Amino acid sequence: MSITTKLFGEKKALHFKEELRRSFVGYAIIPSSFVILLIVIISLFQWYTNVIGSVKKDNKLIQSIFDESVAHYTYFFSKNNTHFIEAFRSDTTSLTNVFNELYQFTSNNRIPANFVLLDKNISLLLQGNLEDTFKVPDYLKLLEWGFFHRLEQNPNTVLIEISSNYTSSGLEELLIGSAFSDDTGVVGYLVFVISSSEAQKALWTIKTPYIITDQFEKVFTSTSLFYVNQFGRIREDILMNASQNGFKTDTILFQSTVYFGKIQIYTIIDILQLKRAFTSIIGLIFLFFVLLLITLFFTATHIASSKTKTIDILVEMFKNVEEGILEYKYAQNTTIEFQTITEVYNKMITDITFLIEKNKQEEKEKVISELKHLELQFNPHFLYNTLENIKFMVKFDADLAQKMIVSLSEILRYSISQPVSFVSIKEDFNYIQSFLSILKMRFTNKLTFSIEIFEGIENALIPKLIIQPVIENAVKYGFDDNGNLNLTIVICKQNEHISIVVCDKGNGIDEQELRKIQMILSSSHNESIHIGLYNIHRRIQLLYGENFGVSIESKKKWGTRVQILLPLKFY
Amino acid sequence: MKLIRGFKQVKILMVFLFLGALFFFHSCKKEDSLYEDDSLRICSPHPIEFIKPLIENFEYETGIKVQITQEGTGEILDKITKTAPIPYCDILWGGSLSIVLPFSHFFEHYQSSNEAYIEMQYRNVEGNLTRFTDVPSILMINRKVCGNVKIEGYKDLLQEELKGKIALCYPERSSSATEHLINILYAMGNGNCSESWEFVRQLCKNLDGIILSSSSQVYQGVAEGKFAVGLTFEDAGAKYARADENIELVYMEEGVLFTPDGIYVVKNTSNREKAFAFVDYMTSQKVQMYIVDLLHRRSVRSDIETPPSFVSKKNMKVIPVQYSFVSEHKQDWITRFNTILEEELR
Repeated sequence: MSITTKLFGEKKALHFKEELRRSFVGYAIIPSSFVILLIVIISLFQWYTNVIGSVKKDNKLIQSIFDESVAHYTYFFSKNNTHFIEAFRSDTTSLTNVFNELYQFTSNNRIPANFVLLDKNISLLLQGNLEDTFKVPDYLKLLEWGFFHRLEQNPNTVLIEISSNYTSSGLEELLIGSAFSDDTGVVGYLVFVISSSEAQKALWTIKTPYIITDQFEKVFTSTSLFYVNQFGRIREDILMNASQNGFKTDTILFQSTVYFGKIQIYTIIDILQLKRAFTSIIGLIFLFFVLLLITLFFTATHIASSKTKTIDILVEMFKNVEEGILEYKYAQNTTIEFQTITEVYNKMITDITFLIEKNKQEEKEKVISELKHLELQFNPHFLYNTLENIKFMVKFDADLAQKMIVSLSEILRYSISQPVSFVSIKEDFNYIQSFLSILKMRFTNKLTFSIEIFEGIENALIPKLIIQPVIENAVKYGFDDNGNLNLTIVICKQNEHISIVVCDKGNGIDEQELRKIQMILSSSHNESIHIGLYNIHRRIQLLYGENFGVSIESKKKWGTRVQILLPLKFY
Repeated sequence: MKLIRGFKQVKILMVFLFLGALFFFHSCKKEDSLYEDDSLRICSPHPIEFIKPLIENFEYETGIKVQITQEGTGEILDKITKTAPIPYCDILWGGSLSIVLPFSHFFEHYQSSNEAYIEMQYRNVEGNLTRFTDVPSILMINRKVCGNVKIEGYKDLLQEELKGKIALCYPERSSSATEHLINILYAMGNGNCSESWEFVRQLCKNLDGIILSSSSQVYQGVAEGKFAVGLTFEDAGAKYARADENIELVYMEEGVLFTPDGIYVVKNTSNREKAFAFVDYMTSQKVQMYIVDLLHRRSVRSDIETPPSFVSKKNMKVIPVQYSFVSEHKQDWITRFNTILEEELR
């Protein structure tokens, strides 16, 4: 039980198609083998009952007929027959009486017999049937030989023998006889003679071939001479090759006996033809079965695959969803159930596509608005400081103040004019120049800077206003102990990327502060005062993804290095 | 899953049905063949009409069931030799003494209850070779075919008129032909001598290439008129001589060889008592009388007179033969005969 369950359990991972196919085959094989087995068993049983039964039945029937007749005749001898002894003395009156008695007696039997009365010299006194002449050969009167010799030897005993010596026909006869004796010895003989033709007449209803013999297998009568050998006995090979069931032999034979085994009755049937017929029927059934199986195997495969085609398509549909392919819509021409499933699926796909599109749009809008917002977060301190400077400069150096105003207006125009757009490095460089010139005016000789742009990337596009916040950051942290600020700006091509590096040689950012800045850069939200660097980092990541952005390194007494990494783009 | 489990009951049912079928077949096969064998197995080269009445009477009087097979003597002896020490049959009934003598070690010693009544020269002196009947070699003549040609002995067979009309069987195939060969050798010379063999050569020449393969073809051939004269044994010819006046039996004037046949009980038989009963029965007076009267064979008993239908031994020249010598040289003589026959056939 547990093994079976386990085995079945392992089969769980079958395809629906395979399971369907197997169940088709299973539903066909098992009932058909069952039916075939039933047919075989029933036909065997039929065979057994019909053939063997009839052989047995007919045997019993013959046995009963012979039993009755032989008993009838032998019984006659056990009656009081003193008047017979009179008859043997050739008393004509008693002979007539005896004749009438015997005549009546023999005709009442199922197998009629001739009766023969002989005197002590084996001379015929009378016989019942004159057509079937009974004759005792002369030599038997001289020799101590034959049936009558044995009757003489055993007076008042009934003997049953088969002989052809006493008839002119040469056919075997069944003799039931006895010698009558008185004090002087044997006085005469009475023999009932059953001819084989009378016996055959009595057995006319018997369909099964039969052989009737004496105890030495000497044949009295049989339906065919085929069973009789040259000595008038049953052929040995027939007895040897026969059995009561006929499974190992080609002949079925039943045997029974009558009158203490003195008469043996065989019913026999040759079943070779029957066996052949039976074998061919079985063969045909199996052929049919095999053909059925083959046909079924193919049709089952065909039906299973055609019926599960819809399911295959459904599986494919869902696999597509798993892989993110949402474009396909399947038109189904199958059952209502599958149509419903497909319709629902299609609607679902449409809804999902719509939602994804909507989501994307919203995301995009959100990014744009954020970018706009980020760009607009121009450092108000710078404006304030610059304006304070201009106010101061107006008094001492009007020209310089004018210059500062021009630079500032350029910066403002640049930052306001084209929101959310990309500029070439060259353009942005101009702006940086203006910005740095204002700072130079503010810090005079304390600020020194150098800008280096590698060749070939002047026209590469970068988001605008991304360098300025880094410079502002340097103004905030980059002064050394002498109050000098030395800025180096390098824009170069690094693989397929643009690297913008701003370095100062100031005191650097203290460690705690640096860690804070780095943490802010790695998060997506900024609630601190370090707006500048975070803004650029966020904008780059929004535009180009997480592989790009701002990184910062700093060391006490050594300076700070900020690198902006961007993809190289020219359009 | 459910589907497969659903079949479980059907499967169990099928297994039961299968077992049921097996049991059905098994129970059917248990029954044995009807054939059981405690009957007395007798092999005999005697003719059917000889065997039938004797066996029938034996069975009815003794109640012993007999299973009889008719085969040639040589064949039976061959089989006895092959199957020994398991007896091929219980009794070999028939076969002339000169043939059976070399095989006598296959037979059981038994002195029948009738031994005292057997003629002196046919007594069972060996102990295991009970004599049954006395069989002389004779010439069987069909007057219709041979016309007035005088046939009184072997020498008359060389006549030109009989060329191709002589029925003879291969000696190696038939004991009666062997007896005739021995008879010729003794009658036409003094046993195994050149004169005798010269006669054999002449006889073979007069066969004109015709030689038969079984002894029954000889007497049947003569009876049917295919041959004028046949070299056969007495009772085979006597049957036809009684029925047909054209058939005559000639006892060769040069001399007639009488060879007894016997009843031999095969060693190691499980039916010893029945076999001995058979020997006693067949040598009894009434059976021997029946054989003489109705089966035309001479008895070996001294108390039975030769009936008038047989020519008395006194009226013919009987060749005395030492059977042991004959049986010792028989095979050589047959071989020599075959050589001569082959030469003449060529």
